[in-house]
Amino acid sequence: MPFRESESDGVLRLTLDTPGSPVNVFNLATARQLCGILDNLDAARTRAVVFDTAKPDSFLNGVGLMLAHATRTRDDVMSAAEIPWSAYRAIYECPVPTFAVVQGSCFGCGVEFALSCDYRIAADTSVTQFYMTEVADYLFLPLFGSTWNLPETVGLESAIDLLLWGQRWDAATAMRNGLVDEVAPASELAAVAHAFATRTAGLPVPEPAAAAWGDAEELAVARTRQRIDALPPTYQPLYEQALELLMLGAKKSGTYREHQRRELEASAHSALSANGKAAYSFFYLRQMASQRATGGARTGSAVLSVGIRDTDDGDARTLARDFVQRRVPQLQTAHWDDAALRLVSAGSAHADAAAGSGAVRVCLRAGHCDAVGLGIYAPAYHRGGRLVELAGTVSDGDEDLARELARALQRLGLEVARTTPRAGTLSDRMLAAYWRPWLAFAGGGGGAHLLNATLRAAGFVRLPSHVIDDLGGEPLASLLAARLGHGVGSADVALEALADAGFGAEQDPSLLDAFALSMVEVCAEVREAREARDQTILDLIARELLDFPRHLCSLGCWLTVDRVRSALANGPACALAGQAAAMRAARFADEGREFYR
Amino acid sequence: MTRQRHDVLARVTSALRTVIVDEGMAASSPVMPQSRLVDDLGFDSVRIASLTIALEEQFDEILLLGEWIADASSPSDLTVDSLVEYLLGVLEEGT
Repeated sequence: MPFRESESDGVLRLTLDTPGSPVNVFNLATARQLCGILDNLDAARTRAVVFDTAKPDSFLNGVGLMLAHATRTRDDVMSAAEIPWSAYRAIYECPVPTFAVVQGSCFGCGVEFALSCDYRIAADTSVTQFYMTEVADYLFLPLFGSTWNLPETVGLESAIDLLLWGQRWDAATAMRNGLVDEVAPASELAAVAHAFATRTAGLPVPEPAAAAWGDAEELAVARTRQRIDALPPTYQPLYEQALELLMLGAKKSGTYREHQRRELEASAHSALSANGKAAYSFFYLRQMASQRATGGARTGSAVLSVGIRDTDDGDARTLARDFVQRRVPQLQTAHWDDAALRLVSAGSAHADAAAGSGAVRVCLRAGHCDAVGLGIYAPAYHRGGRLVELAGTVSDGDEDLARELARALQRLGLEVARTTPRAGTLSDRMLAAYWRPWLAFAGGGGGAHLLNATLRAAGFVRLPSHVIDDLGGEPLASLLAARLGHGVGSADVALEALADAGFGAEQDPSLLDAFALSMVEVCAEVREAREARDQTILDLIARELLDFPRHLCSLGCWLTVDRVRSALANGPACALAGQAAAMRAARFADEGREFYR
Repeated sequence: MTRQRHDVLARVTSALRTVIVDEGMAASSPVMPQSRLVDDLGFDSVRIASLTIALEEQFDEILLLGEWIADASSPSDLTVDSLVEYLLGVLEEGT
């Protein structure tokens, strides 16, 4: 059974442990068991219910995706959601106080589960993270009551940040924002939760209350509407609806059950939309890329000893120190000479095949530092970017260690792209391919407003100006100068011209065609030279680093042979992408082999 | 059953067994053409991604399963048979 039951001092402890799975999943068996337990709960004997996890890396991830997408009609969604919906309702309406004791990832329906409880306690570990994947990753609305509970718990503004803008909160941030009531070290979590539950046992459960509503909330709504207006038009209705639901939830308009029905209707509509279906497909590509990095292992067992040499390189130092400060359970710092992994600065930027600018070199095992195997490259890490490229080859004997490292990085909440590049990191090459047509466009007198309008209409939320902000104008100009053969000065001038985030009404389809030609060149090269295991790795980089649009599923899905052929017929696009890219794209079109079938 | 269908069924069955064994899943029933992936074999979204990888080893190319899932009326419709049918269509398109 998914839940293990135990009881002491009138506190019922339900420990979730999805059988045979590295993460907890709220599947039908879980929902049915929970309904059975809560329906038969004797409030005279059981005075509080505590939900915790047997898996330190996962409180609860996933139910909505498969449930909402393996459906064709609204009625299908309603029918598939019925039992899980009843379980969430049973928690919310439980007659005794309920506690979510969160340790590990708490994603999507996991946040909704925690919100359905009266109180939340979180472990202060790096793997404990709260993230609502629904809108931010998969363009569909949540369906288990979060738009009712969230504004009341964290206030409207923070609710918007979490649901619409995909903020990821660690335990401390969740505490600061009111999502959790207490934070405790992992070793004390069970005792703290039990003490909290015992204190509260038998007390009346908190009544639902409307969130505060005043000038601050009106301002938050106005600001959010402004931000929604700047989104690609195809995303705007979904975000508007998410905001409307949060506002209704904040004002406690109607009853919980009425709101849940409203939320479910809206969720069904979004999940069945073409955008929702396409965005959802990326889940599998992301999972595949993740499994490529770790060799399929999703639970790190070995303890890795890590030596860190301080460096002047800001990004490298930040990343290396995070290994220590964010307390990844699997990692222990060790003396430099004794460490299995040794992290050092990459040295000169772009000179190394295994590491680009701001990279951390990883030396596997003592004595091999001259023959660096891997580089950890996280170009936007200092701005909250989650992409980490683990680049380079290692001997077969060290492969397990490299996979453990990938797993440790994933436990930090990072997306790991494992690559074996021949020249520079694939992240840098993707960045250069992204920027090449834009620099040519700016060099020919093209302006930011036309480019931004074109990209926005295509579904890019983050525009070139945002990418400049993420990476820094100066490092980006150096990178582009090195990779594209421009002078740093001319790259700088072009970036400056494109640093404006405004957009006009006019669009230029040649720009998107040029983008397709430029990107297909690098994807085809990587495939041919086997510099990544498959296209999922490049798709992950494109999503995380370039914000490739969610409703197009992935770069590899979008770059079809037909699309490339059509782009090749566009003369101005070929000129913007450059002759080399156009020639490589023509070869790709001739070969006629798609990235995916 | 045509020879191609038989071949695809054998590869799909092999891929499913690989995932069940590798992921330590306690499948309560054997893999049969009528087996339901979610209800009978215990597959979830994460395991479907593992299945895509296992299928790639069988077919030597990535065959995305997103459309197969999106075309189902309910998770219970995701059977071994329906997967074979879907893959036959995808493989046919590419020839």
